[in-house]
Amino acid sequence: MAPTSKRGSAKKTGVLEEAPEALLQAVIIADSFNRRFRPITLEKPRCLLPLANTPIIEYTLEFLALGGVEEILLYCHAHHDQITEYIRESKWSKDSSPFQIRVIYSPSIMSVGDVMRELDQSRLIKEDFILVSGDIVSNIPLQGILKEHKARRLADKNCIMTSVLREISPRHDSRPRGENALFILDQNRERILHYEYLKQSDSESPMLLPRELGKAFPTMSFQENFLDCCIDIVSFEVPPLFTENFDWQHSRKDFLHGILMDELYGKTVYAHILKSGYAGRIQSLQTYDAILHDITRKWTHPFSPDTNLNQQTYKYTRGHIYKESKVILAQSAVIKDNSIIGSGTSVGDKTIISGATIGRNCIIGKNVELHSTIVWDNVVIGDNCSLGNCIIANEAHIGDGCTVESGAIISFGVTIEKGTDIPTTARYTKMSTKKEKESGRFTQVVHSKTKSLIEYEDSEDDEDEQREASMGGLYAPEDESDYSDISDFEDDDEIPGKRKKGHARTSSESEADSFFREAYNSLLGALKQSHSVDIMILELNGLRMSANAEFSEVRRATAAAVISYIVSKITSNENTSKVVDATVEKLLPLFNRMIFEVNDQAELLGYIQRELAGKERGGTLMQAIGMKLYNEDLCDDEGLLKWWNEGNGPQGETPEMTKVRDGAKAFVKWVEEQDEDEDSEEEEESEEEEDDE
Amino acid sequence: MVVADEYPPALAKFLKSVTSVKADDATEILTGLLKRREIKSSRNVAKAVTKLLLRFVSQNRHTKLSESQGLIKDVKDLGKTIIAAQPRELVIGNIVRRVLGIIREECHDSNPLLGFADLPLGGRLSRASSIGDESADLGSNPGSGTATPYSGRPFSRDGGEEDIDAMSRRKSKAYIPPNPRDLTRQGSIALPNPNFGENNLQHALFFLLRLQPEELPNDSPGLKPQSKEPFQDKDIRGDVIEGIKELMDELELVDEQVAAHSETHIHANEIVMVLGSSPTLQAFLMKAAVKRKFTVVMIEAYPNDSRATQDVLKAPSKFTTPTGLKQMGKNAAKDEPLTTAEMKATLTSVGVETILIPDSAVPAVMSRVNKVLMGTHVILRNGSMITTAGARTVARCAQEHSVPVVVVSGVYKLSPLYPFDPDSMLETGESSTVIGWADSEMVGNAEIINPTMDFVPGELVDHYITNVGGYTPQNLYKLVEEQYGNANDTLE
Amino acid sequence: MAAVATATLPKLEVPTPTDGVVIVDPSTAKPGVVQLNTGEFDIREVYLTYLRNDHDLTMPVAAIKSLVDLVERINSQTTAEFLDVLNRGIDALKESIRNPISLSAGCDLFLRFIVRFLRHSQSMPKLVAHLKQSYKLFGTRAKDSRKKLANIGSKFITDGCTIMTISYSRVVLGMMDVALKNHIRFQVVVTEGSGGKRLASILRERGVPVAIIPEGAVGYAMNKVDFVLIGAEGVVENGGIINVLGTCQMATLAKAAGKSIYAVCETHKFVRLYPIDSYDLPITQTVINFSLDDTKEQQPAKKDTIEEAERIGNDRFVDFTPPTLLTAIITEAGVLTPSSVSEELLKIWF
Repeated sequence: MAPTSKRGSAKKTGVLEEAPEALLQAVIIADSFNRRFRPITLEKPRCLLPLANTPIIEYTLEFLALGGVEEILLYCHAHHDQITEYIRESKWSKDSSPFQIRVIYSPSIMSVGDVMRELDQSRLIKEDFILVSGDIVSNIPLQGILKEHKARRLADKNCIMTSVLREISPRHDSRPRGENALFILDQNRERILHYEYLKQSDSESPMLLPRELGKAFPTMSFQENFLDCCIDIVSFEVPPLFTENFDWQHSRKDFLHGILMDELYGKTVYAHILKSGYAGRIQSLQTYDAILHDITRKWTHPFSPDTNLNQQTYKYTRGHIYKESKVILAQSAVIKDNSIIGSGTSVGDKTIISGATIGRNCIIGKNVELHSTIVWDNVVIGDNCSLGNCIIANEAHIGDGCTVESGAIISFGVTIEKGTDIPTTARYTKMSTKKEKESGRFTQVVHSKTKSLIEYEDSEDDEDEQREASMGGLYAPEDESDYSDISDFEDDDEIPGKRKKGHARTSSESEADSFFREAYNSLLGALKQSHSVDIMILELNGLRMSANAEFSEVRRATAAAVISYIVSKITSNENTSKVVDATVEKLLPLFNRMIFEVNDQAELLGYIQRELAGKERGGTLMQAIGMKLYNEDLCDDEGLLKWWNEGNGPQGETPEMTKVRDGAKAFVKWVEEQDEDEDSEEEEESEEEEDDE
Repeated sequence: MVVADEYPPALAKFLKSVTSVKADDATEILTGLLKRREIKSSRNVAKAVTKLLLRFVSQNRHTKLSESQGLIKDVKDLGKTIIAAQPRELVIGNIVRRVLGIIREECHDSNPLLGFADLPLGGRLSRASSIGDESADLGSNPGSGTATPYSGRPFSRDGGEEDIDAMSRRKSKAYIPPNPRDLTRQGSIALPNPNFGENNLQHALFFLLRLQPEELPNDSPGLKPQSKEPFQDKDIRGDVIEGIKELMDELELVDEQVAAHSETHIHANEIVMVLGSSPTLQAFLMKAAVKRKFTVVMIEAYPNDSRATQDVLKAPSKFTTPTGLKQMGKNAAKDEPLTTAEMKATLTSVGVETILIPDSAVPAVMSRVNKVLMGTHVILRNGSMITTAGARTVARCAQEHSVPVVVVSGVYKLSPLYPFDPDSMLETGESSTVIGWADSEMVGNAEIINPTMDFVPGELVDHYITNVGGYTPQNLYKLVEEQYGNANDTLE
Repeated sequence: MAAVATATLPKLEVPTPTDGVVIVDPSTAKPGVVQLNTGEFDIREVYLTYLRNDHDLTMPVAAIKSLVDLVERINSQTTAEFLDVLNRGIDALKESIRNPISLSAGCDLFLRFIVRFLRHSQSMPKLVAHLKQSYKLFGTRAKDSRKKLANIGSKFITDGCTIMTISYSRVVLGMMDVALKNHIRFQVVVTEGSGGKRLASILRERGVPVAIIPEGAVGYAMNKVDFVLIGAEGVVENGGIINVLGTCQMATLAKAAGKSIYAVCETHKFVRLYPIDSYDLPITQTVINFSLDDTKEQQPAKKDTIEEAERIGNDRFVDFTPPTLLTAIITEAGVLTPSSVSEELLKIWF
């Protein structure tokens, strides 16, 4: 139904106002595009992980069914085969399902933005739709919100989205740590005027607001106390916007922020602030735990274990204890409040289960203490163990007398030898990916003769993410959590082996090398054929994401390609600076996308230096490029000096590289001086320097 | 039929769609709706289940009399599926059992020999149990009409007097099996056991000395099926559907029938304390208001029912069944169509003085109240009931003040189940109705429990008013027997 | 003990038809002996033998079995005569046992059955034949009833509950067994007397924590239990129960504490009595013994140390628990309210 058509004439009260001609559609993005659930998600996608012993996706689907959705497009990437299989076997694929569900897999989707672009291309969306991720737990009736949205669309054609928000106090357990955002709303707290993702690390940095905002809205409400439910009613105009802005990845940081910042769009976004009902998104282990907590305590009713969403037999007893039939408890076992126990599980004598969630067919030994522990199916826990708020995945085996601290993760099928103490940060898995082995991020821990374990040490990510992602007792105070701006790009998708079907490569080649080669070739080719920089960015981005490369790799490849290109172009001494200037100027946007901080600058310079090593006129080029980068503000004093002073990282310098570096000496000296007496006019000086060359 | 507006959207949608999809799919749809609590009140659930059963029976492959076993089994299985979706909605079981009763009655009417053939009767039963083999249920043979000579009334000899009694007590639409005293043995675990009653108890009593089939008197009619006229395999589907439709009508007319008793229970100038917002209750009050002037003290029923309770006072009455409306207005005597104003009548607009009090004020006000009136979610066989949270407090308080507690309810809410574990029958609702989730101080530090239902033991209730008359909690078992006979169908 | 053989192997030769019944002066008759025209029949001994030989047999069933033995020896031509002998047998049995309440339930049931059978013009030979045939079934049927009852009643036992009970009762134990089989965890508080210790040791063996308390601690312990579950020797027509001494007290305390009291009893223990209080029971028991003499103090040990007497149950004191104290009566015919039991029983007997 077009937003303008006869809403009032709908005959039925309630559910689906939009008469048969228009189906209410929903888009589920069943991929988190991050690695916060590693190493569990190495084997199973997040949306199929059990939450209160029911796969997470079930909650989302039930929620959409409750909302009267009639068609669902489910986009998945990581473990798409498992998701497809699950959906096909589920009740949602039957004729009796309240909606049609279509699982769409695309290897190219690496972010929400990609999904939206895909969506735009697919032309499957005709009307305003509901956009959620595959890990929403909510019991709010969407009908009212949809109605409001429609009414708004009638009144305001530029309204493109209604976001569901919940107010939440800062100390609330369910508040995602490190996910802080500032919403600026209008006086009536209906319209979202501005969105700013808050990075803890640079909280002092100024926030830019559109100039007109203050004029148009003399009274604004600045609120940071929102829990973003990530439930959006999105206009069909939105996917094309993503196509227009092909670099938008994130639905909030990029899209929402971008659309509101840029007045040219003239679009408006509204907020629906929930007054009742429950909505939450499993964004991290911390929120997983928090939402599980809420489910157990009936906040999400009717979506609680005793509703038996997935054909279980849970019964509710006082104190929020849920037990399935055929649970065998020893006479002296104690089940305390807020516990969930699945069918076929047996619990030994004197075992205390308090606030724990236990899946099906588990064997819990004697004298075990489970405090808020999350145990999935078919787990064996030996006698005299003590487990905190940790996750024990399917088929894991914990030997006698083990202690598992809160926050630990024992992934599928892992066996822990008896008497082991597992610290808080430990993550154990049987899975390993080649890449990770190569990069040495896993330490093999041999726990017994038969089983070798891999201790998952996700050292790649900043430790903030680690800390943020961990559970329970490990909740870091919010201010310690940090999301680097790149985390979303940087974030891995969840498949370890997916690149098998990707670009061909020899098995001996490491992924980084492979990426480097491809990126180098692609960039050099593009430069030679004078493609537009946008295309280069796009290609590079695609490569980076498909290879899961780090930015450092990107810089290395870029440096190599640029240098090759420049060297090939330079024919005489005279045109050196011209070529350098032209190339750098052209590639400005590209550089902008890979340099974020001082270290990056230094690193890039380092790569350039290395590439130039042994090249003819290496020193000159180094100086020219350095200057140009400096002039274009890609490099600042600090970066330059850092490079200069710290050398080229751990690899050290070859004599050739030192030679190259010396070529830039004059320029660097000049910068140093500039740094000391800051009042000098940079441009003039630099021109002089250039002339000198 | 009734206007669609009366129904909540989910129910309206379901009722609309049920006729166009396969019965199996409709079952799954209903299962989903029940799980998501999109259909909630016992009336709406009853309507949905009845409609589903209608669809199911009309689509079932068993239509013939000889196939009634299959039909009964299918209906039972269906019942189990729906009950599993919402085990605390006991009304589902009631409706399914009623439909099973309809089928059995049709079988019996068509062929007395075959009637209730799925229930182990008389001699057959004795034999089965005498050899200690509970599964030796001959009635499960298909086409058992001729195969089981004992399935008729082999015990008319020593059970004759009860049969006559049973028949004479046969009232309204309730069915009584001709020889129900033998039904106790059905199923290895006769639970929940709805077949208490004289016949049942008698059976149990004399079970010890029961005759064995071999020694049945020769002149017993049951022994000579061959002598009867040739067996006619009639199509019973039409009749069963007719029966289910009657059940649907019953659901539509319940309010009106219950309301008919209102004048005898609400007297002039009485102060009636009211808990709950059920349409039956509203209809009852509205009907009384036509003739009487009285005061209603509404209990707020915070937090789960407070809004619904307020709606009773301010929103248009839901008492909109066609005949009910006609009787409601001042022009009830004349057969005039109702005006909009009358349709929108609320308690206040028909001249009832209404007072809304918070739950905490109940004890304070109780001493001035003449009567407590409640709706209910479900009534259990032992006279207890499950109803709006807070009802137990109110009933207990009323008892303390010797104020009679009267409960109005359709008979379809009467469940043959016994509350072995009342706690397990109570639904616990969203915690957020009690306290805002955003309130982290509370959420983090206090456990919040929000039972939406209350179990009220029979001794706190004085009287149940149903559409088939008034009963004391102690006498309800008789009504249970009338409604469900002794068919002891284990569905839960 | 002559009747032992006949009791276990009921193949009596068909009595020769002679001239009716020999009238014996009741004063000279041994207790429990019925004079038949075919000779003496010591119904008391037969009854006790049944009980001794089969520990699972309940008193009413033993009584019925004894009566069947008696019936087989009656060879009267007229119904009146037949009933007369039967009644005398019943009386003899009742009189010879100190506490005949439970067995009288069986007798009443038997008599009622015979009357109904005969009323439908079935001949006595047929009756005898039928009884002979069903003879062996009585025991199994009675056990079936108990099994079924246990299944129904076990639903009351929910995980983690604490049950108070009194003395040793097979039906109560049966219910608990079913619950144990279903992996339900519960604990039991039992009073020490009348086989309470026996129950405790059986349950403890099966892993159920049991607390044994003195009778005087019932009120003290009541707040710690979830409900009271008691067996019954008999259920009377007003819906009250007759059970071991102390039951009434326990029920009263439970009622006062707002706990549910469930009586468990097979239907064949429904007795044709309508007592108003404990003193209406047709037994003599000197519970209250006013005395000025210290030495004549009653010996309480007598009633619960003798294991056999306890099992046979005819030598312990009983009391009557009025229906108002009971929440429900659990029978194999379902869970009944005392008032409905009363109403339906009256219908049957009258």
